[in-house]
Amino acid sequence: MKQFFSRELWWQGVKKIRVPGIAMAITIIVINLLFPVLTAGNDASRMEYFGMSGGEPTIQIITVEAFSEFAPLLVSAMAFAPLLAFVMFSYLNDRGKSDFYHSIPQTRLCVFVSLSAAIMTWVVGVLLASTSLNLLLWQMAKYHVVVLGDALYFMLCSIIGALFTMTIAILAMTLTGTLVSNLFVAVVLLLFVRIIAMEMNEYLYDLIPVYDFDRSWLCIFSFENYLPWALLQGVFGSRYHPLVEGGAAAILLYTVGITLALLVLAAYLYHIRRSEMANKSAPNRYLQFAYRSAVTLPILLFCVMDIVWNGLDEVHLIWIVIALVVYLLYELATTKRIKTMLRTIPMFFALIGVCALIIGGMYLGKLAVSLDTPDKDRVESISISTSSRVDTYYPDGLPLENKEAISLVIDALEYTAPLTRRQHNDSIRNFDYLSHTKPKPNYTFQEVVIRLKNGRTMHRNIWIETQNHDRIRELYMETEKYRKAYLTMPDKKHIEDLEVSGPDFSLHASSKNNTWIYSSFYEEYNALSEEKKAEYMLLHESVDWYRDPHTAYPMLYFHGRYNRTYIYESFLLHPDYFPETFSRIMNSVLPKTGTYPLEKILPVLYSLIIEADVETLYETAPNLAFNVIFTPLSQPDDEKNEKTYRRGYLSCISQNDKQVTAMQETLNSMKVSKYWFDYKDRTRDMYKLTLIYSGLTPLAEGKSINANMHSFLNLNSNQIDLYVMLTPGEAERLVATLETQ
Amino acid sequence: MIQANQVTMKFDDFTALNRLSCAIPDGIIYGLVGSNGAGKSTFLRLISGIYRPAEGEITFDGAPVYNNPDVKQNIVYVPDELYFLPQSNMNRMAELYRAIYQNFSNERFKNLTATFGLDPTANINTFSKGMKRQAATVLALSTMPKYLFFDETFDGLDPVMRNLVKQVIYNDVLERKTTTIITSHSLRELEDTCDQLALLHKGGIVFESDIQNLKTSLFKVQIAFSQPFSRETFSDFELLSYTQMGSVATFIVRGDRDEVTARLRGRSPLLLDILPLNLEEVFIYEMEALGYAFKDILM
Repeated sequence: MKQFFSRELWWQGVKKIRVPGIAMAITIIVINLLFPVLTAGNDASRMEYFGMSGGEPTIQIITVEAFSEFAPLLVSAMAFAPLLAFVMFSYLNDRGKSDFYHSIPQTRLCVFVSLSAAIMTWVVGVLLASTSLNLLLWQMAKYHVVVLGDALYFMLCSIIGALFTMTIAILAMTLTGTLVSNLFVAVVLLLFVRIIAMEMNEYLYDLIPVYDFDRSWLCIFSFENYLPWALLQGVFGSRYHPLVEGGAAAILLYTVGITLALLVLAAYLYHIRRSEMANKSAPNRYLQFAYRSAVTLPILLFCVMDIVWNGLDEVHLIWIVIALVVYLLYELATTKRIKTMLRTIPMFFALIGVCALIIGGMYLGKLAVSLDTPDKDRVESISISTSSRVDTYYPDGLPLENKEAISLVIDALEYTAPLTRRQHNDSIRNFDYLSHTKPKPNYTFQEVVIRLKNGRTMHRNIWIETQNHDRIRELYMETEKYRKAYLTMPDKKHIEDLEVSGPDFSLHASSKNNTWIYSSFYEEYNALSEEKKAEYMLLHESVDWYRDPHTAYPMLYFHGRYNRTYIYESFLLHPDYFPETFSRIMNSVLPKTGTYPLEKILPVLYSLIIEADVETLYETAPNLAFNVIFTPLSQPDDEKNEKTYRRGYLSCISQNDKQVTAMQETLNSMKVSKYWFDYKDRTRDMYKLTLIYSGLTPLAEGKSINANMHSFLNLNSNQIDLYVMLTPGEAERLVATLETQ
Repeated sequence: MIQANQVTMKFDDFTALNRLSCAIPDGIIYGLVGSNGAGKSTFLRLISGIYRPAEGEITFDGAPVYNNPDVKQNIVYVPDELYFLPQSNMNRMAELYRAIYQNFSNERFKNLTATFGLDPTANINTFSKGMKRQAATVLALSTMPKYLFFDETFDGLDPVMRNLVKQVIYNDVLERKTTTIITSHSLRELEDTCDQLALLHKGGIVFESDIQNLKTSLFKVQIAFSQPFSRETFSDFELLSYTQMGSVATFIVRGDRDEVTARLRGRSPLLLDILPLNLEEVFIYEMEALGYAFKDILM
């Protein structure tokens, strides 16, 4: 009976690639071990330096982020795995070696499976060892916690990514017989296929904006869903990617699926591969043409698409020449024959024809989609996004059966269908980055789901007038489901991470001390009546973040997952609606040593402000709110470990008459909080009194104030910081006032 | 028995073997001779299961060899271009062979290594060309094969080692009935080694015969008569070549040596000498009889 796997051959394979395998192990395991040591040590120093004072006062535990701190070098396995494959199967490029491996008494499939398994053994083994050792070291870190699930998830991603790139390399080696052609074809398979698909997607996106490509099968070809790219982005890039956020099971499954499919293909090709193919760039001239074309097509396709979209330009001729050079260079590099290279030139022009055919196909697709607009009476319901909160609970869209809404959507669809993005002046994702065009005013671009009475569901994009979109929202609000979803706050079990951020502090709810925050917020919110909830939501959504004094209040940010929908929300922690939560947060931010009602402090502050001659501020910035922060100017190095760095936090509003009432109301609400000054710290020479203004009108920069007050005015566009340095005498006067009142 | 039936092998537009058929019985040493590019190595690769023929079939006792591990388990092939793992020594290679060939004998490996005077711990890259061939031969023989194929293996060996290798092969053939195929472009090399010989030319076997039979069935005769005579005088003999200078004729005749000698003596010649032919001469005359100029075939 024929074997599919030979343990002996597998072991020989493991030994055969031990040199690159050990290099990989050293790089990944040993160097990765430095990360916990260095990061933990660095963070520990920082933590102990700042202690519980200022900055991030309540952060005691740092969560290790898998994609940034855990073991970024795991992604380098994606580069090592193909290297192992190239070394293992290098015999396919040499006649003598190839003959040996084809002469041994194993089936070709058995040889392939055994040797491929040997490569996987190294990859998986090294990644497992690295992850395990990392976890062990992080356990010893004082201030760090690693979420085991995150670490294993990242390791799994790295393994899948590495096996994928390994498979690409093996496939390339079964298709070609020289090292140069191995590398070219591997790059083609790894990148060019996706680049071509991406180019076509981009073009289609601009050509047929009405079609929702993100929900079509074509989206699997985007780089966003490409695991190697996503992993690199996750570690070195923006990190705002579903894979990094842990919600990309689809990407992993897709990658596993395609890896298995390519591995099976590689096994078949290996099985039929002739030993005499060694040292040949391709088994026959047809495949040689295919490889040559694949290398050239991304450049040519981009060029031809741009010619069709923008018209012929001199630049395009340069691109065509570049494509021709690449085309010929590939032939020369792989066959090393100039005559052969020159004979391939006519086929280059055939490639241009292929590009034209591809684009022609796209235009035919546009025509088909344009014609596919249903009649209104065939539509059962529509779904369109009007609130991200509602979208959380209805990720596929909340159906609306209202005839008026259906009519508005179909009209918008008929308007959108024949257009390109350029025709609508919407060039956000156009190649034409320099056009500086803006979308048509009063239109918004929305995804819409149209459900037909025959059971078919269509996903489209439409340009719809803003007023019509608002009208649809109004129609939604008449439905109970929508209202309920709109006013529902996610349950705490769906919240994965939370942060409270104020003008001068932040609290992270991953810390054990802060898990109460969302519970408190959630309970207080649910205790509100429906009217109050709606009132709060409207307030929250209507806040002008740059101008509104409410911005002085903390903001609650959280993200999590509701079923398969990612949640990211922020809410204003307004004391009117969340008095307990607001109070507890403010109390936890600031250590308490005394109570100083704001009314007592303000006169002192006003006198300081007047003396600082900032009257012009009131005239031009009538809507001010400022925070007062009272801090020591400096601290000697030998006292850095002492808790001498303090801040006081006040929030009050300017002298503007209109705001006095609002100020009093604010003060009343803030009475539940306790604030203090570190007046005991009299060893310092200077204090800094920071007044942070949130103003409407930007003022001139760099205006200096009365030098006697040792103050200066620092202005930026919407926010004015007033730093008032007080001499010890002035600080004593301020403190004395506070003590006596 | 190894049977090749109408085997054709092509490399792109080039036909390396064209409808080749032969049958190689078990337990013999089979020699395959031909010029460069005749198809010797291609044939060996085909019967080793490395290549798959474009047409025809190669079987071992009726079982096809290509992609058949059961058959290939008993075959070992020593090519012209040897393969060793990078930076390996003979022990490492033995480990590889042991993993691949179930019948690999450690004892035989040690004995042969000692016999050939090779250091199994030394890096094979430090071996000379001849030593590498010896190493490859040792490894191949240690797999205890039933079929042993050498592709111009002896060409790099010194006479002493060549004899040693031949001796080892003889022993295998005698004791274990190993079938050995040796290719070479030197007839002299194969003459005293092989039992059967085939001549390969332009992808086909043009001549195949038992060596003993070749040597004894063809011989040179020098004869003189007092009376005039010509070639027709010997029309009742199978002559491959005939030259006459005066009253002395020299010809190559095929037939039973004793019988031919007796018949010629019966004609009372003044002079009768029976001279043996070497293999090269046999081939030359046989090829000429077939219409080939031998110099076109062999370098």
